[in-house]
Amino acid sequence: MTVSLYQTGVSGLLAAQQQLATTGHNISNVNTEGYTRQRAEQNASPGLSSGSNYLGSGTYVQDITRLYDQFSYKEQLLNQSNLGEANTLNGSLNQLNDIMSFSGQAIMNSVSQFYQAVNGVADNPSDLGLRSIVLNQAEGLASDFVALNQNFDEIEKSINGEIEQVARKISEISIELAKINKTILQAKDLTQAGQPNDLLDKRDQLVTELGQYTKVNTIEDGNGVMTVMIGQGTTLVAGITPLTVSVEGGDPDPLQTQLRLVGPNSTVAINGTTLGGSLGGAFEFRDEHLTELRSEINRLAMAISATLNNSQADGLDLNGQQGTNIFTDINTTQLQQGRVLTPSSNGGNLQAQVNITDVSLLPTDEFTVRYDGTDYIMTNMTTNTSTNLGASGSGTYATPFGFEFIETSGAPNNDDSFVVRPTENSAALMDVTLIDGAAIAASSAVEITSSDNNISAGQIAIVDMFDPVNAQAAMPMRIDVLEDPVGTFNYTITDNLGATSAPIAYTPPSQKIDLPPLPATASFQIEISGTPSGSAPNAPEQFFIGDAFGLGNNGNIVAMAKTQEQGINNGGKETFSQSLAISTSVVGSKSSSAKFVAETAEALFTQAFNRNQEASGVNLDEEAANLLKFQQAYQAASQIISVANILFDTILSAVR
Amino acid sequence: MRVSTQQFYFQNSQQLSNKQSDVNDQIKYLASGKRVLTAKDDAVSYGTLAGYKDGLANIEKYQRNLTQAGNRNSLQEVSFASAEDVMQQLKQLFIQANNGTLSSDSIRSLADLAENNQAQMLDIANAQDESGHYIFSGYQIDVQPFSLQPDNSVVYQGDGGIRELQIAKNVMVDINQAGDDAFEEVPNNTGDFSANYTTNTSGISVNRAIIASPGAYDNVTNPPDYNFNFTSATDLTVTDSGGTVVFNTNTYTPGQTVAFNGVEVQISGNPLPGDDFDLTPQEDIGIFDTIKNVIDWMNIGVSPTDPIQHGVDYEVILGQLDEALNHITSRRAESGIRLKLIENQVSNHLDAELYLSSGRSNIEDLDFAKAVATFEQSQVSLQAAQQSFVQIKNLSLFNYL
Repeated sequence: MTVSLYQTGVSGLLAAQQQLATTGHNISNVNTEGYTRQRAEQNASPGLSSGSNYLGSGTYVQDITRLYDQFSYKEQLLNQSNLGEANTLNGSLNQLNDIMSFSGQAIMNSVSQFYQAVNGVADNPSDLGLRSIVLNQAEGLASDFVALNQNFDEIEKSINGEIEQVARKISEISIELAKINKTILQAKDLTQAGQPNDLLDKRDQLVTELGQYTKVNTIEDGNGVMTVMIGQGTTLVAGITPLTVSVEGGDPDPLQTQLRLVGPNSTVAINGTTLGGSLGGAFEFRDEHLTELRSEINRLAMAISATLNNSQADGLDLNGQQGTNIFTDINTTQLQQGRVLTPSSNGGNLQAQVNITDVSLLPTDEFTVRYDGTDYIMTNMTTNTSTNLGASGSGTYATPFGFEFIETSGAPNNDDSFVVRPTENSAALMDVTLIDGAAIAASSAVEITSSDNNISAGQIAIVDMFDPVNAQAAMPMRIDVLEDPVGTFNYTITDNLGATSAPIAYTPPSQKIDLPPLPATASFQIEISGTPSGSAPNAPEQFFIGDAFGLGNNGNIVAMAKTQEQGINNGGKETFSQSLAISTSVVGSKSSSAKFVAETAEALFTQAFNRNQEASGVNLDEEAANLLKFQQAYQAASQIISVANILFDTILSAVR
Repeated sequence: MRVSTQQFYFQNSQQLSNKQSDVNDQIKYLASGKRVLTAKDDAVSYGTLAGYKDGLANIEKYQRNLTQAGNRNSLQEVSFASAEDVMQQLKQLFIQANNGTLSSDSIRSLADLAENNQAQMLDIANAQDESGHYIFSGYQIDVQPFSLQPDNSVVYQGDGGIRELQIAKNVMVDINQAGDDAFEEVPNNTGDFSANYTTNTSGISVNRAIIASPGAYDNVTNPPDYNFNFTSATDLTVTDSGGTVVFNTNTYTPGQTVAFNGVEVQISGNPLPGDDFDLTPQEDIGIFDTIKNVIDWMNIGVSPTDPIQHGVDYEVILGQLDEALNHITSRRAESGIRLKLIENQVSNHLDAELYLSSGRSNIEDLDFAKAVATFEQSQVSLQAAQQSFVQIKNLSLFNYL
């Protein structure tokens, strides 16, 4: 009996020792990340029968378990991914917001100063100093666009770098997890009854870290081996086999890097946006928000270049020549070819390019053109609407979006596709091509004056200029308009040789006429409006069109100055500053809502973390109390042994 | 609810960092004085704010244009004022010269003074602005508009171009007046025709000769010049340049309106047989031509060969001088009207600027009272978090073991 008391005491002692060890382990690991507190589960030893009674024989530690709640852990994991995604988006959009607000403001100032300089020339058109100021401001404007574009390039590069780093981290984690799985499996093989708690903790910690980078799902099998899936169910760790994630250049756009899952025998592409976590956020930022903003800025650069170039072409410079482009032409071969991206997976050898015909109709969307064997089908990647461009071989295909798709050379194979970005590179390649201030076309070419004897409410105005030099050559001209009989209007054109045309009908309220008339090529267009009646066949309304070129003529540059407040973008509704303001507000609003999303995600994560910690976290006060508790148990158990010893001594001294 | 030690520290450090970032943000706003630093601060109002700033920038552009336009129009107004004075002086001289008691030397000196006036007028018409460009040349600003010929006539070498500047979104103002309009196109006092007298024994003079109905006037079938010939005091024959008779009457009464082919002519005085004159189409008579006529009239001296015609010419030239004076005055008024438009626009823009500025300020500027209060609040909140952290960290059972 004493022996069993001795045993009971020892069992209590050993149990208390293990409890103290566990408590000590908990206390030492209070600051370990991902540590789940452990408890030694004590069980009473089964009773031994003695006579008709069962006498208990002490205690034993059945198992040292982790206090792990898998449900609250999974909740924490899910919220961790959301937080990772929200934080990445918040950080990147915040950066973009800062860049747009400051660089964007710089561009607005440059535009403003450019037009101020233009107005200076309007006041004093022959002053060479004022003209060269215009060119200086133009250069400032172009370099602002180039700088903004470079900022975007930097951001893209840094996001790509981030993606690469995260992919590397994920691969490392994957290898680690497989190793741990292997160790756990081996430990199970050796039929150890206990749980390898610290290994499990380490594995969970790795999964938590992974959860920051992507969405994670785990499945544990009977042997304790955990299969880890990322994103929408892509297996990353298949038991003891790790797969890694690598990054490769995108196709056709190499800067839009893509992820690949690398297995032992094969690789598979992964769609980055569905991954969730910070990777998902990075892909969403790069492929959606940054791309959209780039496209808008490119379109603005293109609109400014095209508008001012067109303005130049309408007028004459100081030497009487037609104005040449002030900014890079928006349809240079380099720009046209850069707008079509050809994937390497295409079988055919078709080279294509895109020519812009009307900037006001251009959307900021990306298009895909696919050859289905007979026709080219063009799909808008944002709205997913398709247009059939027509059979191959026609050379140039017009689209309702202000651009043309042109086959340059070669032929496509069935199912070949091309990525079309109509605004690509416009900001990066914007440059001032004029060097001499005298080349600014301030003067208009021709002007209309009404005769002083005109009596009725009718007018003629110049509405379009095609070729100012040839228009000058056709001067002087005269248009006579007469209403005879009442309600019937006719006009005649008298050219610079004095020959008068036959009467041509004019129908109010307005009519556009190309001059010079056929068979000559039209150089400009006028519009008759109102009801110019004249008084009698001998006295029609007369309008004289004459050569207006002069050093003091500011007609064309006033028209150029007015483009600052004209709606150009988006179907002619937005001025340049409005376009820029809209782009900036959109980024600001995205950034602001990303901030709220991040704050919410942080609050949710904190809640989930707290819930997890409630079950699994170490509380030092609790452990301190436990220390006392188990210390007392140890003392009491050692007292049992000393009592058992005394009893033995008592028995021994009784039989001596 | 159980709280783990890690949870406690995590939560507290999170709170501290959040509060610090709050304080940081407040400092950013206070230092710049703006509530909206980037679009993120108020994405909804940012678009409106950008619109206000755009409007203010445009107004600045218009104010510059207004200043320039004002300068140029003022220069013109001053020029026309001087021209008015010169014409007044010339008219005085001309009236003085019509005094039968003057000696030929006096007339000669009056003619010299008239020539001075011509030179002054030429100077005004050839005025240059601060860059050395001629203000009355239209678009040909490097070409001198008026040059004096040896026979005292003046030729215009500029063109009719008018420059405009934009002074508001839909308002343009002209900033120059072309020399032809200002100095050449003075309406003919007589109407649409001028009379050249071949024989004038009675002293008749054409009062008025206009194209009354342009529809009936056909200068192709009956081309001018129209010759008026009085065979007797009541017998008048008008022939065109081809010799065709276009009007014939033998009941002519003095003061009667002679009408033919849409042309109406009124002659004052009692015609004598043999009186003959030609009507040439002339809608406008330039100021310099008028001045030349004055000088030429004076240079004829005190004993003209045809004193009756000399007297008729005097009346015609005097009428034309008045017409010229009126024209100059109206040109000056035109500059004045433009200056008024400019002045109105300046004050319109000032009003708009005020409204835009206050709109911008409402959105962008920081309400300092509120911001400082928020800053204080954030500060206090941070301090409280920091202090409570320090207090609670001391509470551990281990301190009591």
